[in-house]
Amino acid sequence: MEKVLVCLKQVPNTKDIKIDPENHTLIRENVESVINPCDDYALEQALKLKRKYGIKVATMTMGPPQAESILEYSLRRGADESFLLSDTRLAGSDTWATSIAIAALIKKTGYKSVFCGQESVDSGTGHIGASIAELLNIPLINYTREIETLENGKLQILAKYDTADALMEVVTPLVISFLKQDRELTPLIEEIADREKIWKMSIDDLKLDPAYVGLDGSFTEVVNIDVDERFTGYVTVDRNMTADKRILFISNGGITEKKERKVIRELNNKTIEDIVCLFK
Amino acid sequence: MSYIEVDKNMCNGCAECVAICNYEAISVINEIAVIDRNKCTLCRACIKGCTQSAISILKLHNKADLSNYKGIWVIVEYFDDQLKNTGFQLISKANKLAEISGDKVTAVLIGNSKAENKKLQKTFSDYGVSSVRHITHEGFTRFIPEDAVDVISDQIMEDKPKIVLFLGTIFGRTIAPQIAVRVKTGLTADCTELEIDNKNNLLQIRPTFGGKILATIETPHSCPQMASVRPNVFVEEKMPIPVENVKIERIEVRGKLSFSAKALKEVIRIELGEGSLETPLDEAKVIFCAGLGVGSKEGFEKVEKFAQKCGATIAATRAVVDEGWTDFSKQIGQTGVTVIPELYVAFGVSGAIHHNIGIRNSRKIVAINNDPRASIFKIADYCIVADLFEVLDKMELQGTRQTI
Repeated sequence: MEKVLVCLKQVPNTKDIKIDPENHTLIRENVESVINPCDDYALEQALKLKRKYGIKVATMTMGPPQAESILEYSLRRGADESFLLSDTRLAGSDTWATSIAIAALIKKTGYKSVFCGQESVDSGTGHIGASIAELLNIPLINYTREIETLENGKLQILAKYDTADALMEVVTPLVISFLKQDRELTPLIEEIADREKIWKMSIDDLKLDPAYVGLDGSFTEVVNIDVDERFTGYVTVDRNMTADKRILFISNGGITEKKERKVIRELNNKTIEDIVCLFK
Repeated sequence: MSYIEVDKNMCNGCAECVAICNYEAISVINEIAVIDRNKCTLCRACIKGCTQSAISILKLHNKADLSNYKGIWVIVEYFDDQLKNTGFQLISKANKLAEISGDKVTAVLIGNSKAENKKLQKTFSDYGVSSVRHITHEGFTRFIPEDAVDVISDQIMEDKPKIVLFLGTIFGRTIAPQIAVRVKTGLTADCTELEIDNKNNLLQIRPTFGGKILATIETPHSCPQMASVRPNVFVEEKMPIPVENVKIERIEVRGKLSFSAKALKEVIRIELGEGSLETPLDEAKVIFCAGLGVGSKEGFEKVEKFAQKCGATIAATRAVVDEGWTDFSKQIGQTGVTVIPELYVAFGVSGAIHHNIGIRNSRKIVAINNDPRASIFKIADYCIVADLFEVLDKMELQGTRQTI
């Protein structure tokens, strides 16, 4: 593996998102845009390989023009070049249409191996890495924790599989989706990004037909958006409920309170024994 | 499923499209462009590039006839030779959808060639499933999902189910997107509710933006309509009357799997490190959850150690994960994992709504908190108002005494 392309996504900081209690919509003002945390970790893993084995690292993102800021960030971290796929005709893409566009970009740029985050904090589908691997017809390692080594063109990768962690040996090219791990990121190495290293692309550059990307090219359609009522301060009350039940239901945020509760205030051997017995 | 079509009368074999195709899916045979449907991704670059306007897409939006697609498939996984409980939750939900849509539910099992037909028949008759496809291959392991991608995709293309449901587990969420691309249809991830609308379409409801928004999604123009479903949001229910004559169709895949050559990966070692031997949270029968009340990383580790001793799976609230005392994979609640254990013990958990939503269906809840007004007590069966470490010490003492 001589070079790798890391897919990044700019996401709203979900911690900042509040719900407007009046009209039940998302308040998007003053919400900071950040790089998706898993993607940041994927970039870190790529840069680690660059430092250790001297591979070339590129980054890409698909999004509005302002998503360029995360590419600048990646260049400041040490990426060699970046690709910005920004086109209004890509708006409304579902995961299928997104993967088609990203896979076309990967083909165009000539990169063979791809790193990405396992899922984004805003939509959280976890589809993109797997779909790209299938479109490019190369192996996928999902839920990856870490790359251990790169020797003789083979990678040793520690990934989560069901209940166990598995150490796998894989040949390139491939797609690796990374889970966010609790690791410190290396500090920025450049103060200002060299913006000449950012290549801007539209769907025309990728020879994609506008009728078949974005909203029009998507298989799935969002037919309704609801604010989860648990975040609005409102709950829906069944009209058949009696008044006292209603009060309890509302004060519990819509969860039915248990009727028969055993309250233990004094800890003696008997009470502890009762509880320990439950463990068996 | 839609596909690219070449009009043989219009194509002049100029091979312009061969150069344009990003996926090497077009070749010119006998002076006519031929599309390899296995390689074609429907990116449509060739349509635009064709000098003769000979290439078009048989567009599913206009022409696709979805009436051939019938039935609901549920992909059920094995965990250590046992069918996952979460699979039966999904089957129970599928039964309810099938009642409305008038479809038949088929369970598709992957792996464990040793499972006996008789035992499977009994199990599935209790859940009202009369049709079971058991796909086995000696090469199947949990570690190579590509094999499952191949086989399930082939089955879907051959038998055309209307709806395919996957478990939102590591395995399910790895194979589902690959299958969706292979069979060229839509997929919705990690749904928490499923409904059938008045046009008999599947409504797929899922949380986004960290659970603050619920989006309802449809797959109106392609089939099957596919979704992965978050484990433990539906309750498993046996049918009042078991079905008779459960048909088990065993599909043994022989020889080398068609696509395995792609999966040039080899599992060289299974690490049995951190947490790897534990039952995964969404399948756990006994869960000990640490809340902010544990006070520190050391406090968390103390609860964790006790959990290991008792054979329980350790979990944490969002606050504990935010403090960095453990990692996100252990987080219970709306943005973490939803659980339905037999026993849930909350150590120093205050019981924020986001947390309680994720545990409310637990069979028994024991809560230990020194604040008698903590909301966790509202949903607990046993409310212990005391210092959690005091209780922990006494439990440990009691536990040792019992084992002696």
